Amino acid sequence: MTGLNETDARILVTSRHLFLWPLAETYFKNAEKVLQDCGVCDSFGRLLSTGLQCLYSVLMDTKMEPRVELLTRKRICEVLLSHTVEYADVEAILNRALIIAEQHNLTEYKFSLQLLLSRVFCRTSPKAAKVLLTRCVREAEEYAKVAEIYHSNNQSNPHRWVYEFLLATLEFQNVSQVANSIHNYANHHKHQHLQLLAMILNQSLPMDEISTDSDQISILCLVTQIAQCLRKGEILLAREILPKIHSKLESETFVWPSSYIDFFIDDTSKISIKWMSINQLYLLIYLISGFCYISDSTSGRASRFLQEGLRITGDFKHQERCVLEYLESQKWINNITKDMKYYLIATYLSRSRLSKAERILQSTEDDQTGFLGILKGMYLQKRGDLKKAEVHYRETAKNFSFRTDTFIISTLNLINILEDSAAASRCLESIEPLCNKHEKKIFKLWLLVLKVIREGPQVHQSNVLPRVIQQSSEYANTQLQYISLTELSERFGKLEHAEKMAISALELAKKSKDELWCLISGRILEDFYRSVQKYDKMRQQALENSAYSKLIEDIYSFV
Amino acid sequence: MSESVTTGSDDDGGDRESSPVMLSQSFDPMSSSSNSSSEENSDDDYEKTISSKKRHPRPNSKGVNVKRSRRNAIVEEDPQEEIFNNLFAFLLDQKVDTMDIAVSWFADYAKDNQSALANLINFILKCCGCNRAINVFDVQDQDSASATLSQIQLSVERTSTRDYPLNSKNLKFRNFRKRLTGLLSNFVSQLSIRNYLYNSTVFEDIMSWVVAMSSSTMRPIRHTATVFCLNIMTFLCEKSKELLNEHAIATKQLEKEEKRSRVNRNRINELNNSLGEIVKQQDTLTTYLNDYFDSVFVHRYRDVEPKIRVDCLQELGVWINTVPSIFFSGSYLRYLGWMLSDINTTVRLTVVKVLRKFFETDSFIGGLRHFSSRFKERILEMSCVDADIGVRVASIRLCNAMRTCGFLENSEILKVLKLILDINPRVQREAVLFLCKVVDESVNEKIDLWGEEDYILKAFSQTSLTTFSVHWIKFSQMCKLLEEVRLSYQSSFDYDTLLRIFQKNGNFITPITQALLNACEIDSIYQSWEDISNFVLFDNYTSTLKDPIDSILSFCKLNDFQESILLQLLSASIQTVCNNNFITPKTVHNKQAAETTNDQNKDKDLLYLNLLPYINSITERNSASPTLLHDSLRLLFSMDLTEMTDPQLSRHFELLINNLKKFFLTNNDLQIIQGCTILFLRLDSIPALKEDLKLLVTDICDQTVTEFLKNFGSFNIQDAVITKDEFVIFEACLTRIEGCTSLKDFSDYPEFDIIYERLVSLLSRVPNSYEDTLKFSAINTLQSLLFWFFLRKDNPADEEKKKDDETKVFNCLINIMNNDSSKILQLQAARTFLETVIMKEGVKASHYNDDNRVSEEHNFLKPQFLDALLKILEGWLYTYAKVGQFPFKRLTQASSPHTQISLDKNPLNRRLLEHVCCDLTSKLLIVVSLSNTITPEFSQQFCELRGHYGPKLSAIVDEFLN
Repeated sequence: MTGLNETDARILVTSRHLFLWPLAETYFKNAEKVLQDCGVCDSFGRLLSTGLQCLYSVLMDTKMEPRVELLTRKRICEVLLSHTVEYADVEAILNRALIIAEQHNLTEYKFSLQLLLSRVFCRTSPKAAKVLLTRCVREAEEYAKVAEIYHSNNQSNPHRWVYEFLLATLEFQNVSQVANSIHNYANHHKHQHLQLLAMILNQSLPMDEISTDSDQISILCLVTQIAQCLRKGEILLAREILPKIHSKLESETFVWPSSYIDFFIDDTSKISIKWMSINQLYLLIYLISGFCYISDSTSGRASRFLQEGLRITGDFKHQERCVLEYLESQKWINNITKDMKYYLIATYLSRSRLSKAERILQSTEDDQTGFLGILKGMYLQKRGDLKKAEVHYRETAKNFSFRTDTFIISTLNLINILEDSAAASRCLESIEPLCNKHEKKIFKLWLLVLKVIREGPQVHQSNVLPRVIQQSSEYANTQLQYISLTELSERFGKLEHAEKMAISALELAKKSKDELWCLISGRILEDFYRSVQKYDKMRQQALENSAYSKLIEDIYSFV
Repeated sequence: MSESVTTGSDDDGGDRESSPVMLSQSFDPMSSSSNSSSEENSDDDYEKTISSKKRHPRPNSKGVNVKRSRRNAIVEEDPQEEIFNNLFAFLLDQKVDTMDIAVSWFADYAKDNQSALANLINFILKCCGCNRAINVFDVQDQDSASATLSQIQLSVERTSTRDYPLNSKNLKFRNFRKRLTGLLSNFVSQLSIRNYLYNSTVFEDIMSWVVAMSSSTMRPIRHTATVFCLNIMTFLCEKSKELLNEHAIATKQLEKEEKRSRVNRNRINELNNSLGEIVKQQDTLTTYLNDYFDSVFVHRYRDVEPKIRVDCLQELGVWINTVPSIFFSGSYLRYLGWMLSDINTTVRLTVVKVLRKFFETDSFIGGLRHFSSRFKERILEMSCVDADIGVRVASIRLCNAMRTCGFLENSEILKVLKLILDINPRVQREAVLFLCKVVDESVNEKIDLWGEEDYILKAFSQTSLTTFSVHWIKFSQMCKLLEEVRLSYQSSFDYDTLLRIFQKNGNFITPITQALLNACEIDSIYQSWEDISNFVLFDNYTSTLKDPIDSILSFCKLNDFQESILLQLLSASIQTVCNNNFITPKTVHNKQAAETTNDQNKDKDLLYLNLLPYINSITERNSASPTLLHDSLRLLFSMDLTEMTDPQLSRHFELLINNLKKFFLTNNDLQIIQGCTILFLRLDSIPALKEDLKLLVTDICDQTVTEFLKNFGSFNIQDAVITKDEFVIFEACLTRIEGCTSLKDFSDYPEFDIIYERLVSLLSRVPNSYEDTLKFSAINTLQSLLFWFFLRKDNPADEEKKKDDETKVFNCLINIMNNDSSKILQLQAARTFLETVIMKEGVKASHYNDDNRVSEEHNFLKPQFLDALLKILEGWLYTYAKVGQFPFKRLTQASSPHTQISLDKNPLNRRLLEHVCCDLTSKLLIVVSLSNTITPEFSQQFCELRGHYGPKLSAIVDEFLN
């Protein structure tokens, strides 16, 4: 230190953080780049470790200011929590930092440290996390009240910490409860953005267009609205919203700055919530688009969306900046890839693309949802191997009885192929309460149709089937439409309506490439023409039916 | 830093894998903990070890001959002469303020620092009870402190005494510690004010002597010096805390000054200088604290003297609370964790209390999770099985604090909740307090989930469920938790049978009921018997399709077991309300007392007028379930029926009596029949009901006799095989006849002889455990019949018949005691035999005065009878010893092994077995006393039982021996 006087030398020594902090951040940024490019690798670990060593060096200074120590410890904890599972170390470092914040009345810093501590406790001691966050919410609310009274302009919005702590409770509370808490608080303090967040979390957004300047929030709201529709089975309504998302994504002014979405409490204070990167968003949109059209078996739109989504999963680029987010993203991409495969298989099966479906089925691993079992059963059913299909449906229903959706779908399919009427009736009785109570009305419609089919054409059900046909149109379920039309036309006998319905059913089945139902509805139409003595039309229809019968025989010959 | 006097094998404070003094894992929870005074450890071994390793003092490089000659002079001084020290004298003088003492010393120090320092050291020596003194030459060289102290120690050892001011009971030392603490506080304060703490060596000079003394092999010196050091460290911590506050203030001031638009450089420089000074002082204090912690605490917390260990741990707790930035970390908390396993009770208790404060401090939660995960198993163990009750109670409180922080898992919470059934009342009560906290927390979570209390009440107000109360949620949660606790203990047939025997008089309080009584005392909400009654009577659980109403009703819907607990809660609530509301204050004036009594009578009548209809409704509602009906009937056991004199109650009583009659005659459950019998007996005490009840009882007895004759009149009791269906019928019939014989004298019945003969024949059946319950009822019935016999003043012609009947019964009982395979039946026979003898002796005292008859009655307690009784008692003591984990003590010389009945080792069974053994022992000793057959051998046998089976049994034996 030649040339420096004592005062300057002391300042230089006690201000080492001014040099080491930026240096540490440089290492962290480089580590993030390596993580995005190469994933978790040795060089990433070395960079991270070196950055942490810089921060630890700051702590070696016994003369540093308390605030410096606090901020350094906080940053160390953030890094450790983001990239490691060294919870014991984090706790020890945080404990000291919390004491400093308490001693120096650094309330805002204390809240931020408590938030970090709650993240640790969520993994190490969930009960303690619950207790801690409950206390923190109470403290933050009191702090906000006092801060509002004194109108402090030097700090961020005091309400921020209430929301942060409430959101942190998502780790151990159900979403609706947290959403209600946020909504009540935001409503009381007139924080519109946070009210919107509460509605998104609770999936209770109105179907009206949400006016917002943020593209991210706009997309999030649209996706939430679609999710609400899909949860209720309102496919047509979901399809109406889907073009808005596509339009927004294709807009030249569309901006997606990061994976975090900001909800502003006021003009300057905000809550940032991790959602997904732009790459993840495109994948999600493809999945949603495919799902919206999966029930429309008359066109190949669903398969095109899903195929494109699967294609770009192979080119997926991670944009996460920490290990935990990276691992979580990897898990997410694996799940969405699997979902796309499942839905694509279902699409192919619904359009009788058996070879394509088989190819994907063979490359798909078993899952824990039971959906694959249903798909295998559907494939075997399409091939005409009803016995094996029955086995798959029964196993799926038995093993996944705790998952209501899976149980209902597998049982409905099972009922459809059972030759034993008594067994089919028992199955119907077992799922009837579940279907009646289920939020998705489509299950109830399918139940009604199967009951009518099982009762036979002798029973004239003039109210059920028309209602089913009408509602199936609303839910955009093509298969349900042509099956219902077929059954209804059979019951109308010689009436003129029978011909119209049979023709409609036949047309829908043709578009869906469902040879079996083409044959069924074709025969009904043939019988109708015979009964009304329209022999020319009858012969023409008979030729078509013969062709369908030949196709089906070819399929069954492989069994 | 100064060196210790000795260089033993002290630990250097590194991380430890095990605690320094391991606590034995096989504690006997029933034995009382020994007092601290009895654990005065001898220092001989310790001192010998230390002496063998003692270093020779280093040669003084200065070679001052005068110093050596003066040291020799110290040794040669007359040891009997009391050396005066002004500081010590002032300290003992209660009129002198400790601040004045401190100030005067500093004034002396300013004049002559060496003399003042020597005086202070001598003061410390006086506080140690050491009648020796040093001079100014000794304090000139601080390095010689250890050597000087060694010489003093050698000279003092010959005249050492265990009595020194800190532990002396001498009146002149009664406030010694308190005043010493005050003096040290003021002393440190003055050191800081005068800057001696930071800019002078005087503090270090003093502390070098104190630290050296703290390592002395003499306990008085070591203890006193340790206390000095610990207290000084405490005050240094307080000073450090003050500096932290000053630092925070100065920092904020500096920040504000730097942010001003017009910067005041001078002010900023001034603040910077001030901050620098504060930081420097903080560093100095931190250095002191760390050094003295390593020099003194690390060694003394493991001292052989428990008091020293206690002081260390107490002060460590203070330091952590005062300066958490230094001491609140795992490096220091671990010392507390290790000492949880200390062998001394006071040490463990101290640690537990210190830890509880930490867990109750919100800001400490972040640093306690790791500690909890490491030591909570030990804390739970202390709660459940520690040898000292006080430690257990304190540990339960600590567990509650840990639970509040979220550090206990559900399985661990259940472990503590099980203690509500513990045998010790203090542990019970503390565990119930824990239970109430758990319930409150769970209920609050539920209410928050359903949308707050106001929202819930509003939702229910819009429905037809007008009786709903939010407290139902609490009652429901309590019942569910108690069910979980109760089901964690496996109930056995033997337990149920024993419980039935001792529930006969209706006064036996089940452990669950006792826990609920404690809960009622702790939380007044549980005293809301009206809310509980409405909850019991509510049965409209159909779905309303309204949330949260459906969720709440679904949560509040209880199964039978839980409803049983709810009824016990209602019983406890009624008992508590009656006891709390109708106690006459002792200090009230007679006139006021009379007025108060009248008011209480009116209140009582009003209470009963409101309560009885509820109970009638509850019994009618639960009539289909034997278990619930039994618990419903027990509600009436909670009430003092003799107090019910209001005429308006007659209608309700009439309904109650009719219901009881119906239950008695139609129900086949044994508990129901017994319950009805008890209530009939109690209702008989109400004058207004006597006539009606008499007619009703007569009718009941007639029908029961008819039933009995129908079932047993022509049945070959001794040899016939009883089918399962017959067994059920017979069991109910015998229970009813048992009840009737309790209610009415059967000797006037023409069928009496037949009944008597049939019952005796039943007892003569071949032993069969399947039919034990039949014999239970038969034994009880015969006992009642004999009771009525004894009460009658018959003419001499009937005496012979009475004797024959007695002989038959006693022979049957003896046969059962000797030959029956059922130990419970043996117990019942023994109890009946003893009770009958006691009863007969009591009746005889009011009927006969003839001494000759007295001598004749002693024949019943023949040697073979006594042997049989002792054998049975020994068998039950053996079982009690096994379940309670006591060492078994034989009563007889019989070599046959004892077999234990199938009862698990848990508090429920232990409580019941304690009751069984105490009951049997007390009755046996009474009979032996009455028969005047006490022998020295007999007394010796029971004398040896004292202290082996718990305090209750010991008290019974003591009373007998006295």
